[in-house]
Amino acid sequence: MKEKAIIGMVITALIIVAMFAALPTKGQFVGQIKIGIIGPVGLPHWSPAGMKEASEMAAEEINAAGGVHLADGDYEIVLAFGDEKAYPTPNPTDAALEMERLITIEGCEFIMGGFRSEVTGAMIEVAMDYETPFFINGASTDEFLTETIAVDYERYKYLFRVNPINSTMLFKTIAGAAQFLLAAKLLPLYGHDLGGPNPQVKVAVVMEDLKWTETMYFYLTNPAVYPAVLGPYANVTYAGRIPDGTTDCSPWLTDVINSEARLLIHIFSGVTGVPFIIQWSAMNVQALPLGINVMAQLQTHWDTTGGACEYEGMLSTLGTRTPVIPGVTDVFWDNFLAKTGGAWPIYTAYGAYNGMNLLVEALEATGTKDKDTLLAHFEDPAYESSATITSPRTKFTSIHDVFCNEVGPYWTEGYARAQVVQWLASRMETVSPADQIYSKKWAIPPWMYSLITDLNYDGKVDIKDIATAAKAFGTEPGKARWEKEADVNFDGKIDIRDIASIAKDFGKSVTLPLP
Amino acid sequence: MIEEIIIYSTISGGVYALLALGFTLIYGVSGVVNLAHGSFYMLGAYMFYVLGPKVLELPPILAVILAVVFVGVVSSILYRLTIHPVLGDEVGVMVVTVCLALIFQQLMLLVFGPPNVPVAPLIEGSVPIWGVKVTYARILAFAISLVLFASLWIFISKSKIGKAMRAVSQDREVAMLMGINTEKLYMLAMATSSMLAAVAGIFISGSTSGVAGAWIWMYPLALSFSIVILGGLGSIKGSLIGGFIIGYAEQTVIIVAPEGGQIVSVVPFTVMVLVLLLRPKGLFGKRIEMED
Amino acid sequence: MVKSYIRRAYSSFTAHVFDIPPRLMAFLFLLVLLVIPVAGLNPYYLSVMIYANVLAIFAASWDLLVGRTGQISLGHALFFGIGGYSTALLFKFFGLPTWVTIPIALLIGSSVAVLIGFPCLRVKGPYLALVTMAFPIILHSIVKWTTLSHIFEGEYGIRRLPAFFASLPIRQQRIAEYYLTLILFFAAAVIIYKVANSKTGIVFVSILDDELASKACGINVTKYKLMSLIISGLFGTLAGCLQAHLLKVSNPSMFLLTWSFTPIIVTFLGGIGTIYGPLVGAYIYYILDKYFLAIQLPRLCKYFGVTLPGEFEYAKLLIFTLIVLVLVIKWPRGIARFTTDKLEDLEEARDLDERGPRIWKRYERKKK
Repeated sequence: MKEKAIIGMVITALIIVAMFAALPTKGQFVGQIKIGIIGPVGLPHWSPAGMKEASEMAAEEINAAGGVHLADGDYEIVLAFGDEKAYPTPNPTDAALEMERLITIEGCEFIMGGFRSEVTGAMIEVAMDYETPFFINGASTDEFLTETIAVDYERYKYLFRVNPINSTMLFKTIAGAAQFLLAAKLLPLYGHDLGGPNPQVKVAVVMEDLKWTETMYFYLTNPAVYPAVLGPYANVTYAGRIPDGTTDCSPWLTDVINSEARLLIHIFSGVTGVPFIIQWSAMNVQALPLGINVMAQLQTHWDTTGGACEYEGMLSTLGTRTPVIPGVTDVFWDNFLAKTGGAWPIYTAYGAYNGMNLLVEALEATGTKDKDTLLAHFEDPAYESSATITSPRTKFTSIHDVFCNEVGPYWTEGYARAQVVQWLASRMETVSPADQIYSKKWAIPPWMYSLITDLNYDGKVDIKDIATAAKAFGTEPGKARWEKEADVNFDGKIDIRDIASIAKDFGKSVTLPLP
Repeated sequence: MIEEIIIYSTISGGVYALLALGFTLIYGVSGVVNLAHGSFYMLGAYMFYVLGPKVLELPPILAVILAVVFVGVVSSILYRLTIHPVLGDEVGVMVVTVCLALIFQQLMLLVFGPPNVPVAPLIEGSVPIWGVKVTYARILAFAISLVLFASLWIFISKSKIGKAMRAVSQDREVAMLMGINTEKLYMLAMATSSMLAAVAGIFISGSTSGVAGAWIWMYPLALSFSIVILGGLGSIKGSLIGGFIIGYAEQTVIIVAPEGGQIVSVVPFTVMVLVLLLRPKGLFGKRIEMED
Repeated sequence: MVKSYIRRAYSSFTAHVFDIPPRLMAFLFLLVLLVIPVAGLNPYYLSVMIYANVLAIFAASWDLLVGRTGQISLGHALFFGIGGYSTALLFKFFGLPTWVTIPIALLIGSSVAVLIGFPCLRVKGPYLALVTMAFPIILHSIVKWTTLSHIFEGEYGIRRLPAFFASLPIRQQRIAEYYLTLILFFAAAVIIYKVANSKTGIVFVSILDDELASKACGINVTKYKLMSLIISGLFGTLAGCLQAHLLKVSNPSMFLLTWSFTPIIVTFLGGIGTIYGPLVGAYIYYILDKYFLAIQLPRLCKYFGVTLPGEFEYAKLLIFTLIVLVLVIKWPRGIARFTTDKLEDLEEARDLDERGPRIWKRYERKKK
């Protein structure tokens, strides 16, 4: 009797085990895909460290959805992190060793990252020594691809850049935005006869003295070239170069004041960008800053400068919670904030998330981990992906750079591009491309032009301005009659408050152009 | 142009001299080449951030005083723990102070993170002098620098401790025989020197960059040693004049050649090497004395 | 005939190496270093040791200048960067192979030593230390200067330099590079050691002891100081060349203060004025940072279920510097010398006088 019971129990147990074994192996991984993330990941919640959090988010989502489905089963994504040790002083030796550690000790099959260009050059060489696919995320230097893969394809074929677009295109984005700003806003306010065929606005150019700005400097300051870059309304009256690491920019800013420039194109990748904007505000320089300021994309920029960065326009992958792809980009933003406790992602975070998704999509499409098959997949002329969250479409150029073809104030085809954003009330608002639902109007600081209710920049608040607002009354972004210029208080809708503030200023006027 | 050069050079020269003053003081008294001088500058700026209007919201003057005192206490403790055991060994002192500088850099990174923290100026606004816009904060920094210079000068020449410092710098052994407690004196010199660095950190950061970061110790250190070498190690007058020379050279280059870029940061060091070619001991090279 | 020769060589070897504990130690250390790659290590560990060898050459060159002659230099990064940039520029503009560019770079490095010798050797003590610090800072700005970027390529530096053994597969490359750097270190150490023990070396130490007295003895002090600067610069340049070709990049960071401070820390850690100390120091430096803190500590934490916070990356340098600081304060005479002292104490049971750490003890005893 007892024996029978035991036998019965054993049989039942066996059956249960067999049942579980016979179940489909969903959620069971047959292996791992190890991806190395290298960059300034050492400190969490610093925005370039968003690289770490964003790649973790991507890995968690992919693993939760059953991993990477390859031909021979599902693979789990495992991440390994390496710090490139570039802050505060770059050390290529440490970065190269860290890369080698990820590849040999951790056994990473794919690497993503490379933030500072000073150390990325050395990391590329190690990755290529080991023929490990390396997706650059962070360093925008053109030469990392034009002087490697374009020259020696066999050695550098596993090198890609997923983010951001290269520095030439970044610069063109800024130039396009400057053209637009000059023509639409600054010309009516500050256009003077400066001896050219048409009225012009004085422009000052200040940038850090590093090689990556060399071409930009030439294009912006050479009198024969800059009309083609900045348009016919620009007159560059001052050009200055600041050594990187400078904390006292006031001599250059004094010159900017003396040059009477009204547009200040500034280009900084390093620490100097922050003091520059603080001093711009402290010295009350009457010129609208627009340019590239890597440190200004940090969420902390607003607090660090004490709000002095308000009205600064600069490049960023996206603005604050910009819904490029509604339901995807904004969800990513919310999840990222939830994960980091409120820290904003910047371009390297988007890049890491994009890179992981692009890689996994390609792996699943080819069904194998083989890197040459993967390479053939990415190099296929028909390759195009919609797995990225910062642009609806993504593809690679012939030298494995992320493809970008639009830099102006419009974004129609949807390939990767950078946005020009403006700091406004502790948020970064997209101002270029200007044709998107989320785009805001370009704000001119009231101390440069006091009549913020003069919607058409004719120097007086009259019935035309009220008519413009009235025509768009009751609309929100995306509606047919929406007119973002009429949104005086930047609340995303045109209501009686906007019309009231225009009406309150009715009749006020100033003589244009201003000095 | 000329006005710009004169105003900016004078103001920068004055604050640069303040930066170098502490460096020259500690060398003059105890013969320590303190490569962590820039770190006390950084620590001062960070402490002011913590105590000042952004975080603890103490009144600015109190915040400055507390930050400076804190730096003085920290530095004298560190002097006792780390520099004292290797005193007399020039290389040992340099290794220890370099280690201290790196430790401070990493500590700041760990505690405050890599993003810059704001160091607010004590007063806002600006005033045109000869048509050149100068912020009040810079004028304040310049004034503070001059006041500190004058008071240190009087302290060294008139007070008992100052006389003891001069005695020790002239001949340590004889001074000891005369009953001067050199150890206490060295600690005092270290505290004073680092407090001067902290004041410089608070006022220079506040009046120019407006931020502090873990990277801000290097350039002040390099600048202060070039000023000190130029003026003569251990000479107070030398650091004042050296500061003005470097200030004038640097600002002139910036204003004459705004497109010079990197060349600007070479100027102080080139000037220093040139001066040393002519005068191997700097302009006023001797130990702390009243050069009258 | 041959047999007796071998026997003689053997007996002289035992007399000169086995009977002197520090040399025996060094010999055993060398043996261990020579067989390490055969153990089939992960190439990462080899890489760590390759860079340790380069740092050892660099620090030994600093040690010759400072530990022997007392010319305190805080700007040895100058030679490091000159080495890296000379070989890179020669490759970039003339396409010369590595075995041609490095000797020319060495020539350039020693000429630079002569050039900076003129302003530097006029000044003494801390002045010298701080003046030498200025040169790499000046060059750092110049190579980053955009106006000259068609030559120096700005902040990216000159990239895609040829590797030493580019034709081998990567693992064999690492082994070959390891032996190359190790042999070069031993060659450098032997040359420096020979110089230090020659008549010239005695003069160097006499300058260290008392410059004025040396002068009074009719020694041309400037000549010998310049000589030590040139030899030191030569090997510093060699280290820079090796570093550039190992990384395949030479960029402005080679002129950074970091590279001026690292050899000082390393030499002091190992034992200043010993020549072999820097090797010990360099190995401790790299193994502590790149092995224990980078690999073993995370593994241990994982084993015990402790998750390291992200800040650990930045705490690593902090921990490392703290350890160095404690070691420097505890054993100002260096770890290597501390060990050999202990060994000699055991053997000779003799009291050793404790003079300043800069004086090389063996030489001192010879003098008595």
